This record gives sequence, C-alpha cells and structure tokens, in this order.
Amino acid sequence: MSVVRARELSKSFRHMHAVEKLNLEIPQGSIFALVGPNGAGKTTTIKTLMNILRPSAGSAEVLGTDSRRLGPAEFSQIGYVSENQELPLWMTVDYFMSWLKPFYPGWDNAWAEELLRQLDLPRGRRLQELSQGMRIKAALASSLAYHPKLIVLDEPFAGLDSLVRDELIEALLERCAGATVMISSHDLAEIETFASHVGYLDGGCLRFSEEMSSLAARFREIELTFDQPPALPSPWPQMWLGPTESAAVLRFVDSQFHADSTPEEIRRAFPSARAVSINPMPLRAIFVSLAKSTRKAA
Amino acid sequence: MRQTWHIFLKDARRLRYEIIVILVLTAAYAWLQGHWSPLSSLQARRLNQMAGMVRVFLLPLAWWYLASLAVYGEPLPGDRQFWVTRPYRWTSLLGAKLLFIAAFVSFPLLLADCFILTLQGFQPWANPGGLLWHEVAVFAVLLLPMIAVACITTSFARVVLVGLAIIVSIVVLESVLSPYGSTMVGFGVGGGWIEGLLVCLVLFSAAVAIMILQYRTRRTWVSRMIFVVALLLVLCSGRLLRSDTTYALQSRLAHSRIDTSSITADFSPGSGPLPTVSPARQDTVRVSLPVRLYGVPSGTTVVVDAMWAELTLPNGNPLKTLLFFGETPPDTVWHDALVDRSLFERLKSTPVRLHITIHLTVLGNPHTEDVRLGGGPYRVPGVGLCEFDPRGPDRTVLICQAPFRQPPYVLARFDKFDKDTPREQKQVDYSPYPAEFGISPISDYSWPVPTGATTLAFTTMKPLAHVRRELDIPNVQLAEFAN
Repeated sequence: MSVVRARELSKSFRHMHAVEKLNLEIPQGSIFALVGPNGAGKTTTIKTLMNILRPSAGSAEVLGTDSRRLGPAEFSQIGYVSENQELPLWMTVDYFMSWLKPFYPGWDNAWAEELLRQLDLPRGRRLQELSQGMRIKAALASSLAYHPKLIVLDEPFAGLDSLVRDELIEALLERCAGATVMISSHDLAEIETFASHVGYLDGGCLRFSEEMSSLAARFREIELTFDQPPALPSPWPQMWLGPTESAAVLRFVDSQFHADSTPEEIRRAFPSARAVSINPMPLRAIFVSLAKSTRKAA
Repeated sequence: MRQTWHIFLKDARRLRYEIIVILVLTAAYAWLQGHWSPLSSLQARRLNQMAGMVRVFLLPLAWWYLASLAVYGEPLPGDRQFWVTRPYRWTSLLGAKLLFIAAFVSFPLLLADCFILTLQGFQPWANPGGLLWHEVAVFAVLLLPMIAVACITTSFARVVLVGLAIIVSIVVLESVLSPYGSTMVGFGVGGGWIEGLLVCLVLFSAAVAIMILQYRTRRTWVSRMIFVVALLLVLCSGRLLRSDTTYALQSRLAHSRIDTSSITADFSPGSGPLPTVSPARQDTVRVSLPVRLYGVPSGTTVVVDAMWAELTLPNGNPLKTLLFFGETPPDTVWHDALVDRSLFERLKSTPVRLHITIHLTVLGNPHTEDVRLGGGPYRVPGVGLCEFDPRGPDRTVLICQAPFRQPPYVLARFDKFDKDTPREQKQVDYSPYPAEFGISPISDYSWPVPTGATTLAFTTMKPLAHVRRELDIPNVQLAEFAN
C-alpha cells in the first residue's frame, strides 16, 4: 500500500516547469529519499504533495486523500519539517510544544518530553535565540510527538554540523518505527545509511524510483585495463555512463548490472581487455555519475 | 470553538503590549471625544483638534497595525509558513482573528462610545439599535478591510505601501476622471447615503471574499485581484452610479410606509406668470417649467428630490438632458433649469419634446419645536442637543449634535433672514439606517443664524416613501418658458 502516490504531477511557475509529469509511489513503512541536484524540483514536489502549492496538472494522493484536499484530519497524521520553514520565533521551546499539543489528538506527552531531552533542546529559550540546527531539532520534536504516520523532511540536514545531523538521524530512526518517512537531501552519504527507497529527480523529472538495495545492485563501476588504447564500441551502450579513458585504462558506470550477463557483455565489447574490475558503488558516486551523464546529455 | 479560543489566547499573549497601547489610545480617544465641544473657543478648538487627530489618524492606524500583527501570527501569502502543514481548521483560524479584533478593538470602542455619549449628554442605551449598528458598521466597513489587506500582505511595511498606493491611485484616478465629471447628475439632497452604502457594501463584500479565499485556499493572487477591483469600484463609485439607479435603490431600500398611488405630476402651463428669479449667467438661459403635483395624501407633504427632462426633437433625435435645481419646496410649481444659450437660440422657436422624470419624497409625522435664540445648550426633541456658537460680531452658528446620525429631515425656520442667510434651512438624510458610518458616535450639523433672528422653529418630519413620476410633453417651445 502506498502512502504517497503521484500521477503525472506537474508544477509550473509561469513559464518555468519545476516538476513535470512526476509519477511516484512511496510504500507504507519505507524511508524514501528524494535526491537530486540543486534546482531539481525536490522542494517543489514536496510542497505540492503537502498542499502548500497547488499542482498545475496531474494529481497526488497523500494518506489516501487528494493532496489538494489535505486538511486538519490528514495533517494531524503528518509531520512536516523543512529547512526554510518560518517558525513562530517569539515562542519558547516549551511554549511551542504546549501550543501545538491541543491540535493533535495523538500527542504523547511523555514522548514529547523525551524528545526534548534527547535532542537537548533548551526549553526556556525562544526559537529566535536558537541556531538553525536547534530550530530544526525543535521543529522535528514538535513533528514527532504525536506519532505521525507520515514524516516529510525537506532538506533537514542543510547547514547542520555532523554532530547535530547524527542526533537528528538517530532521533528519526529511533522514533519513527512504523512510520513512513519521505526525506529530501543533498547529504547522500547520510541518507545511504538509513533510506530504504530512493528517487532521483533531475530537471523536474523523476529519473527513477526504487529500493536502495536494487539500486546498489544495478550500479557498478567498471574499470578495464588494456595493453594499448582500446577501440570503443559504436554506438556506445546507453546504460554505460560517463566513460573516461586514460592511457590504457577505461572506466565507466554500468547502470544495468547483472552478475550473470554483464561480465560476458563487457568481454564481448572489449575483447582486448587485459583485466576487468567490477566494483560496487556508494550512493554518492552513483548520483555524481548520473548527474554528470544527464548534464552531458542536456 | 476550542481551537478558535486556543489561537485567540496565543495571539492575546503574543500581542499583549500592543493591546495595552490600543486600550490606552482608545481611552484617550474616549476622553478627548467625550469632551469634544462644538464651540469655536480656543480651548475647544485645541481639544477638538487632538480628538480629531486621534479619531481620524492615530486610532485607525493603531487598529490597522494590531489587525495586521494578529493576521501575521499565521501569515497567509507565501509557502514557508510552519502552520500550513499543521491541523488548523481555517474556520477556527479566521474565527480567532475576528474574535481578537472584536475583543481588543470593537469592544473597547463600544465602551468608549458609551462613555462619549454619556459625557455629551446622551443616554447610551436609549437607542440600542443605533449603538449596535454603529459598532457593526465600523467592524464591517473599516476593520474587516484592514484584516483583508493583512491577509494579502506579509508585513506592516507592505500595508503602509498599499496605503500609499491607494492614495496615489485616488490622486491619479481623480485627475484622469475629472474631465468626465460625475454621472451622479441631478442627484438631490438626502440621498448621498446610497453612494456611501454601495461603497460600504463593496468594501465589506471584498473583505469577506478575500478573507474566506485566503483562509480557505490561500490563493493570494486571486485575492489581490479582488482587492484591486474593489478599490477601483470604490474610487469610481460616484461615476458608476446613474441617478436613476440610485433613486430606484433608494425607493427599494427605504420601504414605503404609505400608499402613494394617488400622487400624480402634471404640466401646468396656466400656473400664473413666470416667477421672478435672479438672472442666469450670460452663456446660459434659465428655463422655468410649471410642473404641479396632485393627490398628495392628507397629513403628508412632498418634496422634489431631483428632476430632469430629456429634450428631443419631434423626430425623436435626442438633444440634451436638462437638470433642474436640487430639492425644491413642496409648494413650488416652477422648476428651473439652465440651458446653454447657443442651444437655446437654436431651439427657442422649434417645438421640442420633453420627457420629465421626477423623484419625490413623501414626508409625514411633522413635529415642531420653538427655540428662543441665545445661550444653550438646548435639548430639542427629534433634533438633538443644540448650542449657539458666536463666531464673530455678526456671525452666529447653531450647532446641533445627535447620537449616531442626524435626523432624516429637519427644517429650521428663523423669524428673520439676511442677504447671506435664508429664513428656511434644511438638513436632510434619507438613510433608513439607525446610524451613519463613522468612528465617533456623535453626528453634528450646523445652521448659520440670520443677523437679528430671535426665535427659531424646528420642524422634523419622517420620510414615508420615495416615488418616481414621469411626464411626457410632446410640443413645447422653450422660448415661452425662458426666464
């Protein structure tokens, strides 16, 4: 069952297409990472799903409700935190929590207390006196205290030091068992450690969306060593991204790796290869190669 | 309701210092306005100036500031507000903002009004309908638009910019439209309230539409367009309203309380010699038409609020609309209009067709009070509290104050007149509502007193019906009626 489902979702600002015909499904209980370069449309996608922006075309469902009709009943089950959210800065942390409490039937006092303690939030301080990281922690605490079914985090780690980042991730993982999490971030290294699904957005288009394990399984860095500079196959296969050649070494990324067939295909394409090295790739390397290949294609 | 109350308490806590300032300002206004004096003494003038400044400038500005801050607690334009993804009910949020303004602006104003009325010698609860209408009007026509503007802006600085833009628009529009004049042609005395009412309705409707649209869907651009259209309508209202429509509205809004079917108007060429009147300017000719009214119900009197005649050639070609001078006394037969001399010379011996439209008001329930001039103040039933203000050796003004609105029809008849001051003077406001729009609960109006006058008779009457009569005169030679 999908908690978030988008069908041909588009959002334009005058003549600029921020999101184009996006089809997306986020399974219940997953931790879905929406990644992509700056200006890819991640924030616009999330804001459209959260009914902050109205879609220009297409539709989306969140918790089974049309995104344009999201109201109090749905928002009492959604926790949304964004790096550029404007919080009521005049409130103290304590007042902020007690102010929000009556809005949520599922507010858990004990949990809220624990979150404040665990995130080391200064209760008596006003939000305007807190650093950006502390404000995001306060927003996160206020968004977890009612056991939301869906947690949506838009660039929550931007501008945070690694210690705060670790605390946030720890809080998220410990406190969100059973909830569905949608997170957009540039911090691919961090996301890799806990995301179960990933979607790659570029130029407003979702290039792919799949489980992390299948993504990791289908991307490999291939390194071929030759005795002399090789002749490249023509045409160059589309699933082999970003070929770089230096002296007698050829490197590229295979985006459709199959343990059974890929070694054979490589040998067929490069019969003169002296050595073939096939290496798994970290998420960050996968996206760098994807971004480069997309840019080159554009 | 619980959520409304929760948000209301949060706003009250956040804006507690601003609320204190508003309360102090309202108290200052109540004291100053309560001691407002119609007289022109130096002390009274100073006090009145201060009261005027607080009432016209400081208090509305402070209200606007407070209303804006209350709305900005949960700002509406933009896409970064934390509250839009929280389980707010839009009705609760809007309700909380309205409750806030009602509690910290309207309620203190109600108390201030009671205080002012008491200090000025009136019973605040003697006219509960007027008091309620006054408060509701201020809320609906002044405070709601303030909230609406805050709904489409993100800071008070922008509100100030909007205010400046409005002022600039007024100046530009006035300069652009002034060559075209007003279409409120021939609009008679007493009906000015209709234009005011329409302006109020536009402001109220636009404010309500903007608030609902913003709190429900936050479609700021649509709301801003509504605001601009409403502003244009308000600025052009005087030019958009046709006299006929205006009088039709007056007849419809002020329900008839008498059968007027017996009233007829007739062209009466045999009504005696032309009246003696002061000559018209050289480029115009005064045309006096004898139109007599018949069948006026007994115990009532009729005044002509407005009269105009469409002038056409016998072949039907339209020539001009002649406007007759404003309100005329009930016993007047001759009605005057000014015609361009060039047109008159061209037509004077040609038979023309006249289609005359007359708008009348039937007045009844007359009540007369005699007042001996000098001293005061006098409490005149149906008129208000009146006082003489000597403003110079031969210039005295009688100033009357009434709670919430001036009476619908007051005729003041002095025992003498001089070259500048007529014997009979009128104050007319046909508005059927119990209060006129304004921040002060007191309405004041004045009468210049003729030199040497010693007594004055006030006659008050109530408008019972507004009627329209039409008259077709197929063949008229204007030269016969040139005066």
